[in-house]
Amino acid sequence: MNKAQLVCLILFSVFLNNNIAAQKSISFQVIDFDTNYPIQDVSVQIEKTKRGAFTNAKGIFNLNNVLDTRSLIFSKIGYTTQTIKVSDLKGVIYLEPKISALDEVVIRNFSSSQLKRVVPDQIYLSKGDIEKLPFILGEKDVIKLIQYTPGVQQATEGQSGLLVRGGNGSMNLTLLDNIYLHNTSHLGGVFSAINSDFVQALEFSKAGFDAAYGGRLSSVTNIQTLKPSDSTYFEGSLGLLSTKLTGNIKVNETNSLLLSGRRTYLEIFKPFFGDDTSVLGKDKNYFLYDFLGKHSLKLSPKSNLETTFYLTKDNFKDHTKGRSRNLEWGNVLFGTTFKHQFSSILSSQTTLSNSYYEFSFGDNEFPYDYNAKSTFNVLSLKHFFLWDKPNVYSLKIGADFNINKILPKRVNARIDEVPLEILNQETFSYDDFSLYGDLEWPISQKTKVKAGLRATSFFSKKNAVVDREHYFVIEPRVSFKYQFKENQAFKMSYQRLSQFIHQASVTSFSLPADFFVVSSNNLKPQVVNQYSLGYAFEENGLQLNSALYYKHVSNYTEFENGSVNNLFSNNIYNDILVGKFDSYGLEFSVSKKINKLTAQFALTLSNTIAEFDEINNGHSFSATFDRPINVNSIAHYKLNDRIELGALFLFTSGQNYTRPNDVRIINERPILNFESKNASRFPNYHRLDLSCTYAFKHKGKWKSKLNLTLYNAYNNKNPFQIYFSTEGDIDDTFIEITENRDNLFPILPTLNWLFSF
Amino acid sequence: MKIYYLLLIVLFGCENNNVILSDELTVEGQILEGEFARINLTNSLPFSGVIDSMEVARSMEAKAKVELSDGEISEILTLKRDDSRFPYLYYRSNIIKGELNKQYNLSVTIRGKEFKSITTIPEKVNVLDVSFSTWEEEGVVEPDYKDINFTIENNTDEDRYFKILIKNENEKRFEFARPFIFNTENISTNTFPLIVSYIKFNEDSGEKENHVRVGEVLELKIVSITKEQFYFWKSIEGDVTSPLEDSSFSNAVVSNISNGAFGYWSGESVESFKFEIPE
Repeated sequence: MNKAQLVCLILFSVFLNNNIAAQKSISFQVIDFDTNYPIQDVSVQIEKTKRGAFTNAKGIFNLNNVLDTRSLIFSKIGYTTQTIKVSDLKGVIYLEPKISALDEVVIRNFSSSQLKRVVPDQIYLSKGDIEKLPFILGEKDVIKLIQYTPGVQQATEGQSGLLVRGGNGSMNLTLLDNIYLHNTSHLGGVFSAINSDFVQALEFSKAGFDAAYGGRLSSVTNIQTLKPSDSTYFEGSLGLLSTKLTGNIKVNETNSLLLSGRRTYLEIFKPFFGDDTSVLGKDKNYFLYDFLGKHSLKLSPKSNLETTFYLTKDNFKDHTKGRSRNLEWGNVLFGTTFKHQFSSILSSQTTLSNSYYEFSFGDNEFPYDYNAKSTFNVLSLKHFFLWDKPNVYSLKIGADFNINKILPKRVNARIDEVPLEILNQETFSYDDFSLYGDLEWPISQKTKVKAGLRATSFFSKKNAVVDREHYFVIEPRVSFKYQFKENQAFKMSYQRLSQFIHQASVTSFSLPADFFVVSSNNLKPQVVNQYSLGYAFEENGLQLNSALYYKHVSNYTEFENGSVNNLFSNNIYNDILVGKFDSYGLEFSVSKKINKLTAQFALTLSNTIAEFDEINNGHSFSATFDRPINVNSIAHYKLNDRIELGALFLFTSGQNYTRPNDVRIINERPILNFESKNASRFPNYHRLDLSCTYAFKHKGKWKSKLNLTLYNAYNNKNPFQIYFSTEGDIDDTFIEITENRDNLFPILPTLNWLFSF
Repeated sequence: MKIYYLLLIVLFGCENNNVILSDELTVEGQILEGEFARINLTNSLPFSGVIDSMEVARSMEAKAKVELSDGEISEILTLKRDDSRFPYLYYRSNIIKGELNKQYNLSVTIRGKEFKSITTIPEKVNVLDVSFSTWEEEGVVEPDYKDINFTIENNTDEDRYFKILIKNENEKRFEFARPFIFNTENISTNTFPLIVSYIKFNEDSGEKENHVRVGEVLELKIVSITKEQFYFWKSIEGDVTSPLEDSSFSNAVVSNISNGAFGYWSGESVESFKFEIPE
């Protein structure tokens, strides 16, 4: 190019910039609404022109010099054609399969359409969805975000364990790449055990479980880690509270690796947490790390093998008041899954895995020096065949075999170097074998059914405490969807499930120290009967869902006076109380996308009542995890291509607790006498989080963002625990009783630098 | 909208009320070997921020009919006064004195209700040896402070229960030692060590203070108590081993008095010690 040509080009460019300012180059991704996979070869045509482009293997297309006022027509055989104005395009375009009953264009909100699923109340989050969700303490924590959906509660401030429709934490089944994950929460719930950076998709169900899932009563969370990428990329973040890095590495055409690690360093920021009354006070220390490694091997175009290793570790030290308490807990998961596609309809999947969880706890403050250990191990083999002919039928038949070993407690205690004998600290073993079938099919144009049956045999092994026992249970589940209008449907579901392990909570906190014991000849399996009725309505950009549910759990267990008091028990089964609980409620959620704003509002009204012969003289009481009112709302606003704003507001009834009823004089001292169990409530919990993300200009593959999150923006003092102290005694002129409240997190700004390359 | 109102009524109309689990009467009754029975009766005080001394004084119960029987003799206890402790009005037997292997039936009648309880007197603790060891806190040796080490005889066929009280000779009242309550439910050897300390938590400094100091004279009581009294104290103590201190968790108090009265009626045997803490 000579100088004259160059000058002409510059002049031409200036001319263009001045006169065609509304023209731009665009690049977006097109994704299948149902599967969340990119769609290749989608025709993208500029309306009323012959110009256009096709999407590549990643579903991405590029177009240059397109007017903002133009519309683009997206079309591909088998998909509903969509026409969208260029100015309305926002990152991802979802195309729906043409066979869909819904003919209208639906713009995706925070989670997938409820209308398309037969099962009510199922939540599906893809990686794209997770990216749109707000930050909480600098993380897009998927487990915590599920807490903000209707029917799911958090225990107390900062808890990340899920409490679903009145159930406790042990009633949730969590699978990571089909491997059982025992503990999903960290102390104080600052982070969940799942680093969202490695999550490809997450499915959460609280009713109408797939028959492939068994052994838990309340919910199923199925997490799939990232699929192999076409090219190597890394993403991570560097923040005030934690650092993490995830690499999706393509080794060659057949091998790929997913590596992901995270480490917190809360200890540096302990001054934020105040004095010793805070759970993370100055004489306490807490850190966690986790690591995921996954190897994917493409054996043939129809077969692949995925091997996952996952490790989580938490460490908490408490050296306040001269104590020397140490708590450590963590999961170690290892498993491999073989998938084979026999034909376009038939596929199979086999998983062999082992999941180990260990909690250890030591203290020197007791009359004894002691340490306690609790373990939970599941060795599992699962296999299923799936015949899937979209919109005709979907049939899954499979079998699971699990070998379970549970050590509720092993306490080593010493008094002045002399060991204390504690009897019957046995490991409890049981095997369970299940056969199941699950069928989904349309019985008419408007009605779809999903029905499943799971038959499980439970064999416990004899030890010093329990005899050999066998239980056989049939677990039916059925869901109906009646889509009486194109954009409205009623849903119903029923399920009867059994659970062979029983959790006893230390306190109302979902601590990792909770003990698990196995069903025995005297302790029957827990059984739930749950009925759900749902309604879904969708219109362009609007999703409205509501559900009514009733749940009855029998053989529900609690330890008398908390499980830690049972550390020195010679027979842990002697301290178990068996009762029942009923939970019922109304759940409602609405989400709407209006231009650049996506907002979601969820309301749950519920009641959970427990009853034990030995507690409250047999009178029923509000279950510890009962929260009558729960309101969550999330908003996301994309100001421009650089700046995104997010907000999260929570309002929940306070947790139940037992307050002093009166004061008694014993041994010349005032002693607090407590009211009936859970008769009082903490003040309502409410919190607002705000976040702002600024995206820096892309430099090739290098992308980065800076995120500022304000946790608890208006610094509401939500109580984490309430306790009472008395001052003065009988000789003093007065006795003062004070109610003390500990708050976990004040207003907490976090800054995170997120990057990918 | 009607259906929503109906739902709200269904959902929130069933909120539980506090079920009254215990009577307002508090019983603190002991009978010691060779001594008359002593019963303190008080009524509950309202749970409010501040309770003044007048309210505390009014909590004493002096209108009850208290009856004691050992299976052979039965007597109505009389009201006595002892200004050295609270409640300064108490009921005392005048005939029945405590004996090992006897069963004592207590009956308290007030406000038209009768509260009953039964107890026996446990044997005294058999202390084989007492020694003092240097106090060590987190690996740091504190030569000016000691732990008190008892070697106690144990009958493995029988579970025993104790409470331990301690005070400096200059102090007026016995305090709870550490450990305060102790049992032999898990001990299968014929002897066992018991390490006792006298530690108070100083709210101002936020530190633990050891009161077993070299040169100080301490008085200590190892009181054999009944299983019922042990579990009463255990339920009062609450979940002391909870990893979260003073969490909002409370136990239902275990009482061996009928009709929901709070407290205990227990036989006791006391072994007393007084020593100057040596170098």
